[in-house]
Parts: sequence; structure tokens; C-alpha cells
Amino acid sequence: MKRFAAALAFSLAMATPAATAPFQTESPVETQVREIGAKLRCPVCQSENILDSQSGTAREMIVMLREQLAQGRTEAEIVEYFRSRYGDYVLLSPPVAGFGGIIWTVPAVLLLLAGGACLLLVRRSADKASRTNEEANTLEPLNEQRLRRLEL
Amino acid sequence: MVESLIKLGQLATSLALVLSVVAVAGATLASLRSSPAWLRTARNALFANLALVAFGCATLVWSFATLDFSVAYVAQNSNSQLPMIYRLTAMWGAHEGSLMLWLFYLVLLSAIAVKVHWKDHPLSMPWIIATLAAIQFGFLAFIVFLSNPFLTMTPALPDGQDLNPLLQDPGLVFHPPVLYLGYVGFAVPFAFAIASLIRTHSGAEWVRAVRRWTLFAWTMLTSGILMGGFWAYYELGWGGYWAWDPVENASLMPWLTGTALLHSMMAQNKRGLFRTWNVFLVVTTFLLTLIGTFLVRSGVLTSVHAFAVDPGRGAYMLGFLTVTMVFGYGLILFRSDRLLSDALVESPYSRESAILANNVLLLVAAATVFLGTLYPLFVEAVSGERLSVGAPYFNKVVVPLMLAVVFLLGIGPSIPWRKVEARRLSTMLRKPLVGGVLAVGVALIAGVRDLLTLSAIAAVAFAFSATLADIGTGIYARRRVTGESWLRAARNVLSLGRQRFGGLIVHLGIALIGAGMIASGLFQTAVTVSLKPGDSFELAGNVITLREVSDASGSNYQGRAAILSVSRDGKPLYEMQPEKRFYTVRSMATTEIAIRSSFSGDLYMIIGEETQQGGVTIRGYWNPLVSWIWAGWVVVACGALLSLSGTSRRRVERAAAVAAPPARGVPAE
Repeated sequence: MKRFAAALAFSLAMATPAATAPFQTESPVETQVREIGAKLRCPVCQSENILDSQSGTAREMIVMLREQLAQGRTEAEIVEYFRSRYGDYVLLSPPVAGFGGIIWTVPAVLLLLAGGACLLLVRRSADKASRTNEEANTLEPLNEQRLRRLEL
Repeated sequence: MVESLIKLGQLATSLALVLSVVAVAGATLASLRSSPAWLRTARNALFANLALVAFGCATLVWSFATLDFSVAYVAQNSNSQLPMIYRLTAMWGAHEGSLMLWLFYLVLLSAIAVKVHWKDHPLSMPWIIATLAAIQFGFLAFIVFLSNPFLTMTPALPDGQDLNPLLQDPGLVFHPPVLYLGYVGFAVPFAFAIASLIRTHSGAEWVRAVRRWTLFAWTMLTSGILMGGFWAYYELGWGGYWAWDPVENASLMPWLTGTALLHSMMAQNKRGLFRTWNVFLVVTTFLLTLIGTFLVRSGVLTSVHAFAVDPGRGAYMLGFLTVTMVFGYGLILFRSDRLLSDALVESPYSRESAILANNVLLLVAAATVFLGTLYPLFVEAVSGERLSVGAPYFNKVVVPLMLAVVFLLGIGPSIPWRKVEARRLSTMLRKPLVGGVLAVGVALIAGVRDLLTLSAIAAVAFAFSATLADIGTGIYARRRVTGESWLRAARNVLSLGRQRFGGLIVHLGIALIGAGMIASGLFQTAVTVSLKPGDSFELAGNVITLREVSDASGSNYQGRAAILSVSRDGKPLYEMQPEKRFYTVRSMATTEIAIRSSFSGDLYMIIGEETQQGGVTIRGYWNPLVSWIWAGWVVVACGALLSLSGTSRRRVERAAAVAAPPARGVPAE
């Protein structure tokens, strides 16, 4: 029992980090790896980026990504490298040129058109409503006069 | 005996197919000849279908429970080692069974809707029944002819192929059934809208009748989507809950249009506005629920959720969708001249125009998601080129739209109908604006500089304080008038204004969810380290130490676990144990994430590759405020329940009618 307690104490001492023990930290490029990796699609998977994917291809791509970052390449260069290897398919945010253009323009056009149409509609409808109100207001004094005349 | 039971299930389902035809024909005849006898026949056919389909589902569940591997579907999706709970939920674990669940909900809700509204809507009832029965027919024909879960094989397999391990999770027990209930819930408003279109009665009656159905469907859809996120967060292990996966998008689209519908229906109910728009929204939302089901189930989207790939089924689904679309939109076009509203939007500063703005934003968001999800398929079909539209795109385009919606969510409920003076509006918004500005100030001090992040924080803080101020003002006013205590005033206000305050509480929940999503989406910290036993790393102020990597096998899998101890300021707190599992029957690997939740955030640990010296790679995340999302869901559910529990206008009218019998005349409808 004593021996067990000693073993436990020992393993606990091993487990609790001594103040002097350095923390394991990740290499400084990892932040960039995550940032760029989230924008790249794993080419053999079902709509996953290369960070989340468990596939071999995705892991190889991560390794390549790390190497290129270590060589001091910029994000644009690295993305272009993967694009030349796998095509536009690898970009989770489609390029504005080519087929991707539609995807970027349609929401903006829709918002402008729908927003503009509604604004126009509300304006016109509000005008019409205020005109009917005015008519009603101009009629009222007449009615009162007529009412007074009738009462007289 | 067991084999004959599953055959009985198939027989019952086939009989339901016949009865759905009877119901459509009977209901149509009933309306054309105004024959109550035919209408009762049609109604009883719908009731009988509930019993028949329920029996069909029961035989399927029974086959899973008893592990009858002579049933092909059971053999493909279960195994003798599978725990009982997952045997039962395996019924909706793949294509055929999940459609059976859809069908069951449809017959159930059809029967309830017909039973509940039978007396109140006598003239619309034939068309409501006909529409519901026609949808039933569409699904029944598909199930009986193309996607039959009752097929048997001889000889039976000695053992099954096991359920997809990703689905062996409590998440599967709740996520698909709740999501489907949300989808199918929109079938009832759809049927009412179609009936009102056919009868050219497009006033507020149908809107009033379906308010609760719509709210119910919306609540279930919201819950289903969030449960899906919860499941992904706990089961899939990438540190997030929403990946803009096509399948997730498929469920988001009807949610967006359904949310728009819920709001614009109020304008028709209270002011007689937006009639065409509302029928358009109902039809669109229902179509999107069908598209959602079919996209996932046809396998046209290759994603983690698409288990089934079969082109023949795809053709049928496309046909069914087209028929529904042509019929629904065609009817609106055909009747468009009768749908004009008699009321006007009187001012740009009014509840009406706030609702209009909300609808524009939500619909543009829905269109964007639709386009982003389907456009790659379209491009590939016409040009052979492959394109990806993923999270970075949607985050850039949809998130700003949703932020504008959240901002409106703060303003909308406090603006009165018809018109508000600009000066009063600005006094009303002063307090919540202070809330927004304060939050932005705190964020700036904390070092946030990104414009999108700052506007997100501003929008959510504004919406939250505006909603809180609205609720507070209501309670304060009542207390001043009646002199009640705070608690009592709060209770009375909530119970007397259930619809309004239910809605406000839902808004509060949405703001909480927004806060959780912003924090966890934009302020996540991640770290990937390679550890040997005894090594430590730091994450969000916690020191995490690897104790050992040990064996952790279960009944149908082999596993490895990393035992991590977490301490803070030298004090040991708790242990975390992320695992890696290998399911032997399906030879599939999964990761079991270890999560420690708190109010301020979640520690999230994933085990990676093992190294030679007994070490392992660990990916750790600190996800701030994630639990706010789940808490926000609870608030949303409470608000929705409060709103649903409100006495309906119908019942109030009926009570009034009892108190003072009206003169005989035309029925209320």
C-alpha cells in the first residue's frame, strides 16, 4: 500500500508540470497554416477544408503548406501554387474571374434590386396613404358645417 | 413470423398509397359537388393512413430491435454488437428509413390538422385534405416503388454491416427527427395557402389558422438545426459547429424563408398587407423543405451526410419537386389579380417597412445560400469545370446580411404599426444604442480592430439591449399602473401578452446565439502540439499535461485515449480524455473529442497521431462562449412555447360567441 502511494505520488509529480519545465509550443507558422488551410478544399473529400480532413491528400497538402511557409513564401504564392496543381476547385472562396463571378455579383444585385423596389413601393404607398388621409381631412370640416346647418 | 410481420408493414404502406389517392379524389369531388359524404370519406382515408403508416414504421423498428437481418435495410444499418438505443434510432439512419420517418410525420400532422380545423374551416377543408393527401401520395409512391425499406433478402446475412459510426451518438437520436418535424410542419401552412388560393379567399383567415403551425415548424426547424450543430461540435471534431456544408445549407434555406414568413404573416394578420408575398413565401418555404430533404437524400451533394447515391431516385425527386413548384407558383400567378392588398404601408417609419426590410435581407440571404450550394453543381453540369463554394465565401456574404437582420431585430418590435414620428423613434433607440456603443468600446479596449467583428458586436449588443428594454418597459408600465410587485408584474405581463413577449424572448435567445457565434467564430484559439507523457502546453490560461496514452476499447470498436490533466495557476482542475476509435465492422475510424464547457468558453481536445516514444499529437481549441449558443436555444424554445401557448383568436372569438350569440348569417370563414 505504501509502495502504491509512493508510486502514485511519483507519477503525480511527473504529471504536474514543474515550474522549470518548458511548455511545448507550436511553431510560429502554425497560425498561418490554420489561416491558409481553412481556405483550401481537400480535393478528394466531401466539402471539407484540408485542416478538418482526415484524408492522406489533405495531410500531404498541410505538410507542403508548412514547408512553403518555412521557405518564406507569401499566402498569395502558396494559394496560387495549390491552384495550379488542383485547379479552382481547391479554393473554398471561388475566384471572381470566370464562373465564380456570378456567385459574387448576384447577391449584391439582388439586394440592390429588392431593396430599391421595396423603397419605391413604400414611398408610393405612403404618398397614396397620406393623400387619402388629406382628402379625408379636407372633407371633415364640410361635414361639420353641414351637420351644424342641419341642427339649425 | 417475423418475416411475415415486415411483409405486413409493406402491405400497410401500399394500402396507404391507395388511400392517399382515394383522399385526393374524394376531397376534390367533395368540393366540386359540395358533398359532405365524400369529404368524410377523404378525411377518414387520412386518419386510416396514420394508422397504416404508423404500423409500417413499427414493423421496421421491431425488425431493428430484434435484429432481423433478413430485412435488407436492417442488415445494412445495424449489427448484433450495436447497443439497443442505436438499433432503434438506426431506423432513420439511412435513406429509406429517414423517408419513412418523413412520411410518418406527414400523416401524423395531416391527421392532426384535419381533426383540429375540421369545424373552423369547412369550405377550405376539401382543398386542405386534397393537398396534404397529394403530398402523401408523392412520398408513398416514392417509398413503395423506389425506396422500399421493407425489402427482404434470402438467404439472410449472418450479421449486419453496422450503423455508420458517425451516427452512433446521442445526437442522432434527436437531430434528424426534430429537423424533419420542422420540415414537415410547413406542409400544413402550405396546404392552407393552396386551399385559400384555389378558393380565392386570400384574406387573413388562413394566416390566422396557420400562425401556430408556422411557429411550431419554425421552432422545430431551429431546434433541429442547432442540434445538428451541437452534434457536429461533439462528434465530428473540427472545433466548430457550422461548416457551411451543403447539407447544412439545405436546412438553413427553409429556415431563412420560414423566418421571413413568420414575420410577414403578422403584417397580413394585423394590417391585411403582403398577401401575394405571404403565399409566395409559404410555397417557397415548403419547396425548400422538399429540396432540403431531396438534396440530402438523393446524394447529389457529396458530403458527410449524403449516405445514398442512386440516380433513378434523383429523377423522381426532381419530377416531384417540379410538379409541386409548377402547381404552387402557377396557382399564385393564376390568382395574382385577386391577391392585391386593400391596405397600404403608410410610412417608411413603421413596423410594416421594418418587416419588409427583414424579408428582403432574409430572402437575399436564402438566395445566396441557394446559389452557393447549387451553382457548383450547375457549373459542373454545363461546363465540366469544378468549382467550390465554401465557408470563406458564405462568411463574407451571408454573415453581413444576417448582422443587418439582427440589428433590425432590435428595432422592429418597438416600432408601432402604421407610423412613428422620427423623433419618437430616436428616443426609443437611445438606450439600446448606448448598449451597442458600450460593447464596441469594450471590444476596442480589448484590442479588436476588425470592422466586421466590431459591427457584429455592435449589432448583437444593440439587439440584446433593445429587446431587454422592450420587455423591461412592459413590466415597468404594468407595475406603475397596477402597483404590483416586480415579480408579479413580470408574470402578468408575460402571461397576458404571450404572443408579443414570446416573440421578444425568442429575439433575446437569437441575440444570445449571435453572441456565442461571434465569440466562438472570431476569437477561437487553437494549438497543435506533439507531446510525450509528462509534457505540457498552455491554452487560454490553462496548463494541459499529457499523463499517458492508453487503451480504450468498447463492444464494437477498438480505441486509444490520451489522458490529459488540466490545471490553472498551479491548481489541478480536472482530466480530459480525447479518444480515437476504430469501428471494426465498418472498418471506419472516428475521433471522440473531449470537451469541458464553462460559461466563458469550452476547452476542446482532439487526439491526433501517436509518435514512437509513447507520445501523441494533440490539437486543442479554446472556443469562447460556445455554451451561449446552446443556452440561447433554450431561451428561443421557451419564447416560442410561450407564444404558442397564447389563447388563439379563434378560441377568443368562440368564447365571445358563446357569451353573445351572433345573428344567424354567413359562416365566419
